[in-house]
Amino acid sequence: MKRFSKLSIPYLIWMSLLVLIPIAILIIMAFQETKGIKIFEGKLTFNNFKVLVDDYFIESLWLSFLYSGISTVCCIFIAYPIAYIIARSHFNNRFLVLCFLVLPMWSNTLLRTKAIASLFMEGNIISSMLAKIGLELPTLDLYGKPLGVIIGMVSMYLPFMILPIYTVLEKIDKSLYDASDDLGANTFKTFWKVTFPLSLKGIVTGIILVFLPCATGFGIAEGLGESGLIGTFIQQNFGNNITYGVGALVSIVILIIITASLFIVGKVDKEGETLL
Amino acid sequence: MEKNKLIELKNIVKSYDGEVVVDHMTLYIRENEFITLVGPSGCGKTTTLRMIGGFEKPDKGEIIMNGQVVNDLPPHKRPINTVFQKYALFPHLNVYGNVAFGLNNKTYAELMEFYTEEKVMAQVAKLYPGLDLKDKVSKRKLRKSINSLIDESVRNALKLVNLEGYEKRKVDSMSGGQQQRIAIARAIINRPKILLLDEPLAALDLKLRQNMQYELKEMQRKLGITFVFVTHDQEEALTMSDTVVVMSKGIIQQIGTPQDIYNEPKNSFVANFVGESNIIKGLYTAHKEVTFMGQSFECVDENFAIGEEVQVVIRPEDWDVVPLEQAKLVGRVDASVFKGVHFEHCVIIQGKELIVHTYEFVKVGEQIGLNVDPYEIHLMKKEKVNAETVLEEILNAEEGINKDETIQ
Repeated sequence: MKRFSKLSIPYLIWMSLLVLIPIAILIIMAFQETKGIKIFEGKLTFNNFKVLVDDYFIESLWLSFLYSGISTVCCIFIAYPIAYIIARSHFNNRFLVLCFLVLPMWSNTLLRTKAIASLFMEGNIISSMLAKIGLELPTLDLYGKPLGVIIGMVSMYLPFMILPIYTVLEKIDKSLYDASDDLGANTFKTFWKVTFPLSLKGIVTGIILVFLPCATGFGIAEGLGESGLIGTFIQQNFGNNITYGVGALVSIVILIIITASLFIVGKVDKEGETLL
Repeated sequence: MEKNKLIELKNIVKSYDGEVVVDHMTLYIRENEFITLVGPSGCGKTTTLRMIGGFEKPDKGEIIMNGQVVNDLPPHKRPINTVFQKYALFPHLNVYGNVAFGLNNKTYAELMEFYTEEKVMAQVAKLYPGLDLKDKVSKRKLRKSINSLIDESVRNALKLVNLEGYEKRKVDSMSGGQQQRIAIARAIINRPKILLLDEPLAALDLKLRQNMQYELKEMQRKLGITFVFVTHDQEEALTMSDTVVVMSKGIIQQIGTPQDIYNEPKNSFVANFVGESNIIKGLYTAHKEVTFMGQSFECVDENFAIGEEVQVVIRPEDWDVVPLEQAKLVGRVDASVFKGVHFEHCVIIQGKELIVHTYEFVKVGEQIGLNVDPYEIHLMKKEKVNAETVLEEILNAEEGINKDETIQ
């Protein structure tokens, strides 16, 4: 094994350049009150920490977690049956079916967000087309509404839930179903006592893959008219306000929350097989 | 004592993609017997087992249990449990969870019936000594007593397979032999009427396999459960079984006790598959007399017409090596292999190769004199196909795709 240890050097360099150093800069900035990046000029200050008790910050953080929590749960309920049906079906080309499900991921996220947003507004392409043949649809007045944001998040991140669940379901040895049946479990019991526990790892992976980008991203929410989330909050500090110190601090707080939650997941799942 | 028929297969036909795997099979399995289905790979033995277990449905024919046709009864409703080829243990449960799986699936009422009310009440009295059993016992207490009975059952089952103290272990941390024991414990804890075993010993090494053969036989005797065992190993079949069913190409070739199968093979397939055989063309020349290789021999078979062509089966170990002047057949030793207990000589007599097992060493190239006792000669009706082509088919079938596995 020692011979291969040299192969890890590029990754170590990569990691330190693109992960460790930026985080170090973030930490330094969190203790400075500067406009823009002036790492070596600013003075040590704790003024930025005031933001952590700011109502607006707490509200955004809470809203972000709420929205992404709801979206993640929706994703599980939608993705599990889809993954289950594909995994247990006898399609010759299950991979192709999966590809079709994942296909929307290949188009630009921003574009998709804009497209969904326009569907939520008055006079969108579908309703105007339907109007031409005399069908009047009530307007989906979802732009800027919580439901709209959640629909956006779910549609965007659903594939990230389907894929890991499908992968674990597909890997389950078929003879286990026979064994369960043989030992007196009907289809329903087999699902709850064999299939579901064995697919938990896929669900946890899916939760990580869906919840984190939902909670921290700003593109989707912003695009759908919701600008009260934590992603937007950070973006504003780095954008228009150029209060980098505040932005850096908030980023670090979120980083800590995420790391802590991953750590907890790792503790619960002792084998560490959850993360693909 | 006549044993009752537990399950009956009548004219079962099963095919996959137009290929017939089991062809008009009729078989019945009795109470408390150890029955083995043996045959080369792809002969339909595993498919037969899966149909008994309820995992496959026959295309034609009937499976009858207790006078009822059970073709469509799903596995979880049959009083049958299976030990799967690769054990199929649940990786998310520990040893205890695996073994208790079957009992935990039963409903309260089923468990009450399983343990009988008497036993449950005895357990209640044991757990709650002060309780007056004439009053109505609360459901919670009953449930608790049943759970402690399940606990006892699991421990007993693990004890039976010599795995006490392993309850908390993860199944994938156990060795192949241990996993197999867990699979057996998991099946027998449900006290099935029939236990199906699908080549359970195939993955074990030779010594372990031999030990398990005895243990399984012993277990079957102790439990009084009917074991239906599938194997491609004829030696295993002969060692363990009360009844052996030899199958080939979806057809039963012979059913009988191990002795019958070995000593009185019905056709050249059975003669060749179960142990080694010399099959020689012969003529039934007189009552209890057969002529082959230019010599007439006394024999014990009677059901042949005089002048009928027959096939003579002589097991390699049944030849007697005698001094040349006393010998009826004299041949030359063409090759000789030391097999541990005996020598295997390849003897050529009149251009035909015979296999002879003896304890005596004979130099290659030397003359050897052979005799055979009347009761060691077994006659078979002449078949259309000769022994060589049958043997070739066996070899081909073994090399070919393992149909039993691909269909799963």
